[in-house]
Amino acid sequence: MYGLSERRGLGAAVAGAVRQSGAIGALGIVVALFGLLTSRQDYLLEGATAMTFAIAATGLGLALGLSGEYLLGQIAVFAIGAYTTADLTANRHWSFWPACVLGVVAASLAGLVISVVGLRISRFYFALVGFFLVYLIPDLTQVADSQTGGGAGLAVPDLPSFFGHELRNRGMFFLALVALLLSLVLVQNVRLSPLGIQMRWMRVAPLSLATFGVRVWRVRLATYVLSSALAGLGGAIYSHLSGYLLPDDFDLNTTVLLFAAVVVGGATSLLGPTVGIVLLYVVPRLVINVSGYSDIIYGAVVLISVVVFRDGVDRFVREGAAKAWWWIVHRVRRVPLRRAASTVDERQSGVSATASAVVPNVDELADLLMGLRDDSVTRRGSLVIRGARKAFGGVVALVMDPDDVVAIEPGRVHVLLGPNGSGKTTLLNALCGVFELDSGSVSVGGDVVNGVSATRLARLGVSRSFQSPQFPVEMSPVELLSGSLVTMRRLSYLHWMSSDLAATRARRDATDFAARIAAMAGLETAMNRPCSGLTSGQRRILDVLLALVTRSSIVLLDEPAAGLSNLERRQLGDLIRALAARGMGLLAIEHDLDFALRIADEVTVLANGRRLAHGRPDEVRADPLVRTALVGGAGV
Amino acid sequence: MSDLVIESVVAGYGGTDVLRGVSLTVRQGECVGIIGPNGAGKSTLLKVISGQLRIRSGHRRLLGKDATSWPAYRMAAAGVRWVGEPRPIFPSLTVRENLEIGGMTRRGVWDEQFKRVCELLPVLGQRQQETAAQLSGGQQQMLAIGSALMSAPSFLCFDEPSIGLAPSVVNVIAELVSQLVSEGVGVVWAEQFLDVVLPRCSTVALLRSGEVVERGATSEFTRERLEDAYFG
Repeated sequence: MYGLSERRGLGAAVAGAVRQSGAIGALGIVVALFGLLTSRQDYLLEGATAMTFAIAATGLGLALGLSGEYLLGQIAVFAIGAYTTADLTANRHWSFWPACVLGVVAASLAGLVISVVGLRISRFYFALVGFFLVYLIPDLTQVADSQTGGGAGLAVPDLPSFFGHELRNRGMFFLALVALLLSLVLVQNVRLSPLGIQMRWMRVAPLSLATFGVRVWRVRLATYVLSSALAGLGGAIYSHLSGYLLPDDFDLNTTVLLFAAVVVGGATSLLGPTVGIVLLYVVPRLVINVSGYSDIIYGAVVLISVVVFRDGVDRFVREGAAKAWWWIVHRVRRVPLRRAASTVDERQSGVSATASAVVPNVDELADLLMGLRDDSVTRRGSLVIRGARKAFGGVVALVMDPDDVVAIEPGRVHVLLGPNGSGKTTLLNALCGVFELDSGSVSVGGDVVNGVSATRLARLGVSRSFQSPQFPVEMSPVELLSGSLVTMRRLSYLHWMSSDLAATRARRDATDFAARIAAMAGLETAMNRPCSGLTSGQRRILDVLLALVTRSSIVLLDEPAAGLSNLERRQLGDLIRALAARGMGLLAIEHDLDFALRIADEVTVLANGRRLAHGRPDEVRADPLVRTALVGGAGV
Repeated sequence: MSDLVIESVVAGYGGTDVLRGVSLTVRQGECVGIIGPNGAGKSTLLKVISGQLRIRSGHRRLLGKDATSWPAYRMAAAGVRWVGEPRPIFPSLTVRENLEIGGMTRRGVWDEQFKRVCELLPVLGQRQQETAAQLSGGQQQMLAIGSALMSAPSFLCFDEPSIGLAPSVVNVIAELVSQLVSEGVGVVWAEQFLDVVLPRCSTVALLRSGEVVERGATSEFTRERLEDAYFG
């Protein structure tokens, strides 16, 4: 795959999986030891309850932290899982295990139903819907009182049995622990899978996701279903903990507990929600047990946790470590500044090293990028826009004549020039399906694609870069690029969810490949650090690479050279030419006339939404109108 | 006394120092060009000057007063304005409202500055009732610059203002800088492009790996010497 012949052994793959699961394993061992050693039944019961909440919180963390979806009705779904399971065992005398499975299924279905709402309304209204759903729980249990026992509650007398053993408190504790660990492993695998990376993109830049050819609604749907399934699992186990199920168990307090646990623990980290449950549920309860001032201390512990860990426990720990390191280097060891700086530098592999120190082999990079595409690329034909007109509110952005054509043909570079506000980005947006034209047509290879979505156009082989690129900033360039690469592997979700050998290998190959092209494109020093630390030039390079790491035959670049140094510009120009020579069709928006004319086969100049000039670079250069429009008569 | 001075400043993010002991003086009525490759610390330096990033060690002085610990709003109120990425504009407000916010620290000069900004950047006057989000990328950049000018600042930090702007507009901005400098404004201008920045600056500081490696009057810098230093 990707032209890399390197294969790695089973041992390396297993070692990688073990490393990823280290934290989960450590958590499991600590909790298991506690469960084995404690003799207090109430600790076991509270511990198991906490773990069922942690399972639901982990699901909520997936929705909130990764996808940015405010699924605050989580506790209602938790209740559905609980009541379904309890009804089946208590009223219909099913065994616990199939009832539990059905509870999870019912919860997932509820997630599906919720998603119908979630796909239609925006995030804060959706959050409110979740809150109000919680108020409905007592009424709903009343309506279905033959199944749920209504307000009086439902007795769940039977204990689950495991190979003939009844699971009492200690047994349920370990059942909850196993379920929690499995949930964490599942979520960990999802986070590393293409789906997890798409969820992160959806949070910050849904439009980017669409232009990668991903159906955004499907990512959202998957978020809801997965998150609900976990809530259902938590609920199913919860229903058999105390022997009695009351509607009051699922009130607003529990909703707030789950939400606060995710926020305080750190929504973006895997173990954050579990840590949050420990801080906001377990710790306060331990304190209550040892003192008489229970409510005050409970309140104080929660308040202090929220204030101290306001950015999430994970960030608190990470930034604390970074600060501590800085102090050790500068104050304690009294290292002179210069040396201190270079120590930090070696550790972080250099903010400072200049991108221009790398002179990439442009042809090799172009070969690698074209290697992602199959031979049909060049046969797909041109992307053509004809007679484009578009107005936003009262503002006319594009008013091209009906016969005016802008064509991006395979193997050619088309450059779009024009003053600010002349409609260049509007034209590019229309070309890749971000919005529909008021009149005019867009076609791919002769087929008219008016009104076709950005996702669909991306699948037809049109990708783009952005003028102000946005990324999930917690991820590194290599992670983002390899995320695109693994998405191209048609590996089923079964592989990703279980993170088996095929998935591990695909991920490893993609990471190697991503690192290779990132290094060749001059991102070597920054490629393994979070994108939040990228300079504007590095962001630009990464965004262009993301548009190129696709199967697209047509690539549209919005000001790809902005913020680049002269050397980087030259290399970008060479890369664009090399890609065109290999059959790709490119459109680039540019301001620098010399750079534009050097890379272009064909130039279109826009002014005030009209086509001012069009032709070969030398024709356009000679046009006095163009010079006036672009340089303002001042001459450069 | 009419200077903005930073002295041996160390600053950075998390466990990393991006600036490692940088000193720089900007006088009113002077344009200082900060040049250097991507990742050299130009943006960080401008954030330190404008108070957006905490100084870990070293000092900052504004017009003779110690301003080391001043936060960004206080630097801005004292007349030090910054334009860079992300653009300091409010997309949901109209162009006019953005300009009003820009002039909030100096209400007395509103009419005069508004007229002037509309003259310099006519598109802002023409589109003053539209929201900033409706402007194109380049026009938003102009708005950011216009908004900074509204306060009649005494120092301006420009972090690559030419990104996304057509050459004609870059020329307008370059002219504008010359004019502001002649009126006594101190300008710190970070750019990667020597061609844009060199002709307008009296002093140039070349930044590499978080340190000022070359500094001097622009006239002392031959192009070759700069390029040598630039590519190290």
